[in-house]
Amino acid sequence: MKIIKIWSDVQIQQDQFQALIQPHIKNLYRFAYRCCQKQTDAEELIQALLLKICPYTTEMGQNEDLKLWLTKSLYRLFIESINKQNRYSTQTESRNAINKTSNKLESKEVSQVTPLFQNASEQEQQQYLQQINKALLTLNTIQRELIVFHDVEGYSLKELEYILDTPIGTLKTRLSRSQQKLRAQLMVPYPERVSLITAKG
Amino acid sequence: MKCQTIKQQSDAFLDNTLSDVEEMAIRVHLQQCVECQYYMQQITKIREGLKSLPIIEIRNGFAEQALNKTCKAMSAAHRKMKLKIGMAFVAGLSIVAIITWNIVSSSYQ
Repeated sequence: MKIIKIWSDVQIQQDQFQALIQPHIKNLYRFAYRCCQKQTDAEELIQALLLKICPYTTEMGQNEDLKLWLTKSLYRLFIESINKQNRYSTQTESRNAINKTSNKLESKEVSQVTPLFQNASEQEQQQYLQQINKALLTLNTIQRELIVFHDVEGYSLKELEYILDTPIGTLKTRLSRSQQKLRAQLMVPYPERVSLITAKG
Repeated sequence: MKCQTIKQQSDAFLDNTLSDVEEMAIRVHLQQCVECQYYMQQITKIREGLKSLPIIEIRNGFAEQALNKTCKAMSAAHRKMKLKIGMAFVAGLSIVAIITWNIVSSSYQ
């Protein structure tokens, strides 16, 4: 049966592979970009992933949640590439790709305008985003990863449990601590004179 | 409801994952507590700021380029596999032919 499968038209397999992967490429790119923080590295990571998984087209077709499986495979590939670099590098850069978030926003980068920012000037938006970037840099790699994947990219804890291969309880605790630490940097304390005036009536 | 509880449940409230009763209790408290309203505004601002973190959009044509490269690799692997199977088949046939020839020639002798 396998020989018949191998001998069958490769075009059918290629079409099936393209049909399976095409809807997920954009999401995979976003995830890869958040990991690598560089467009070229993200593209290379995705290309490496596609070359690795193409022999498993039939199995992918039977997968109920292909998006999560692809994201998990991409993350594993990213970790493998970082570990390979560490083995041959004199400097220790373990999973520091997310550390490369720069304070200065590059001109090519595009941010999504949310309702909060619709009335803010571009300068105010840029300043606030730079503040957020600075605050993210104060977190360690694991904390930053969690914030980026959960709060920025919107993956649920259940999905991250599968992708990162970490128990959901551990993720909840880590996320809570990461959010507390981040918010402590960004929150402006409640103006006390206002509360005093309110109290005095 | 206490202000401390509001702070603990702020994310769940903004994610709409609380029960109706809990959500109503928070709304009632927020109507009365200015400090908690301020806190909620700050949290909302941070959450929306995070969602606005910039990203370099996917390059035009990248998806097609990546898939084409993968399909070429699939074709190359497919040709290699066909060649291996073909050679294995020919080798198998040759062995059978040799054995048959030996049997036939020894039976004539």
